[in-house]
Amino acid sequence: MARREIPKVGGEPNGERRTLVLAFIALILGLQVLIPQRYYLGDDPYDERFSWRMFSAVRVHRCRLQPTETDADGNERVIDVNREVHRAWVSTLQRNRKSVSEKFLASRCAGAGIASARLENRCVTPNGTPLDPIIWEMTCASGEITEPEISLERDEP
Amino acid sequence: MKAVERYFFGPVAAARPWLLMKLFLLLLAFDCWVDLTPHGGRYGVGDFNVAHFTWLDALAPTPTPAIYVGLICFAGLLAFVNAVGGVNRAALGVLAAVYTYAWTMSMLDSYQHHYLLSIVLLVFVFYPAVTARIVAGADDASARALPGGRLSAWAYHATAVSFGIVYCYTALSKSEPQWRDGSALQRIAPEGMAPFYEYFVGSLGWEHDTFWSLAGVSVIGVQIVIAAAYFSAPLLDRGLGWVKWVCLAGYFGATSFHIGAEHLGLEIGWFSYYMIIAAAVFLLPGGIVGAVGRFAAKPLAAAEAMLSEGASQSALVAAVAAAGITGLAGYAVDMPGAAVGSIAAGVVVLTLVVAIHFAKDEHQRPMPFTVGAILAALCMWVAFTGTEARYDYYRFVGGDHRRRGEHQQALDAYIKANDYAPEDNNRHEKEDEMRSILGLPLRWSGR
Repeated sequence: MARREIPKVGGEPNGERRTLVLAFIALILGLQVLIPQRYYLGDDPYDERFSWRMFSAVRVHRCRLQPTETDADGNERVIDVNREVHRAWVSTLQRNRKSVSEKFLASRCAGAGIASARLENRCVTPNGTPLDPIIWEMTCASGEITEPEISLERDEP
Repeated sequence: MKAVERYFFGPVAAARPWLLMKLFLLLLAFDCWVDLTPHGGRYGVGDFNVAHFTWLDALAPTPTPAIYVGLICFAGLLAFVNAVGGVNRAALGVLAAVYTYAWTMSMLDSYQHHYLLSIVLLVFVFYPAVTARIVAGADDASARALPGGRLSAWAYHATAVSFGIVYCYTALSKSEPQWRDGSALQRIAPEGMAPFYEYFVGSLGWEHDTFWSLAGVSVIGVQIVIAAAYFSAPLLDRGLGWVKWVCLAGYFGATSFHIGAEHLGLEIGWFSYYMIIAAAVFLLPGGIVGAVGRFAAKPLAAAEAMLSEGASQSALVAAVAAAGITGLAGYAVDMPGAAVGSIAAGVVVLTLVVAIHFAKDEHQRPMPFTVGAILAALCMWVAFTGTEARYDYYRFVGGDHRRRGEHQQALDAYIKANDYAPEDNNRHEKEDEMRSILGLPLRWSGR
């Protein structure tokens, strides 16, 4: 009986498998090069996920969050956000994460008698320059959200 | 194209991919149990959650502490089994999927290094099946090894390129004006940088702005050097002199940078330790890595040889026992979800052992997985009982309920926290504060 050859560990792939491996390498490494570009080509300077921007200058902006909601009679009140969601979400809201801000506003609008909800972030850059306020606002009846045009440069008067 | 093929398919010392996988998986196991589980209590609070991807929000249930802790305990156990027991591609695939789901299910976890670890875990699936006996140079394994203890490992080289890409983008992100003028660094680590500031500005008389600007720019320079080293790393075992020097510069750059990050007290979990391991495995000369690999592989090779001799049937019986022990360890951990996650890990290992038994693959033996599962269960139990993971978990949960005026839930969590409190820290006052609010007899005051 012919003895079965023991396969080597770590041999080079051959033939069709070699082509497949090269295609796979191109895919995974290509994605790793392309995915961070969504930050540099996109219009959301605060969403640094998947972009390898650990401790970037944007990440260390300090923002003061002011969440408010208005009832049907037009009375505005400040939301005690620390009582509504976990403190970690408050930090995320302070980092101007778009999808979190939208979901938070929607959750406020789900409450009875709320006409609109608003998040205002006043941010300061690492060198102490204050930025224009970043404001998200949802009209509860329509679900329409007014999104801020975020600019990291302060508008000069 | 030929150059690309040579780059990815060219030889590397067998010890490198073996060490990288074993050390990363071992570190990941303890990272999961000790560093990640304490944060489980934040999931699902107020029924509020946003996943990293909209489609995941639509499909997946709102995460809860039990789901998070369960997934993380499961990932830790599976990582340990593959680190210490046998390595199985299917198990690595499950590990990569579960670990990735654990962080993608909520933006509560936005650590970018968890994304990097997901990439590494995915690529591990395609690593060559190097065993400890091959790395140790055991005679009976020589028939499976390529000459000179080297092999072709495209997935390992792809990992090196991934690390290079990460450092490139990190350098790019720090090329912005407020990193170059040092103001970002000044805000990130004012206390950690204080001794250096004292020395250069206080003793040597540097200008304040010069110091911070040089500090900021030097970080960019170091990261470019490290990136160049990782891109060169696949060529390191091919006898090119310049590569050795680039890699050595990258090694010292990466090690000093990540030790520096730890010194500065940056909140990045165990990221520095992963990167210090990676720098050593990828960038140190083959002689050093090979010697360390042989040293580490010898006892494991002896265990591999011993465990491979056992009858497959006895491994099946032992695997049933191992699944039970894993479940018991999860139950003993006393955290929501830990028991279910641990039982699930035990079931996966049992399934794997049954599959290996019936597949009759002559190069995979079931017993190492079984023994790996038993050791994983014991180490998980030691990780929880020997650290403050449970104390941290319950005190964080207590603190959150207290802030939101949920006094009974806060009291329950503080009682647990005090059960697991270390000698030099506790939540006695907080527990009594909740008792006082709830009109219950105080437990700790006056002691």
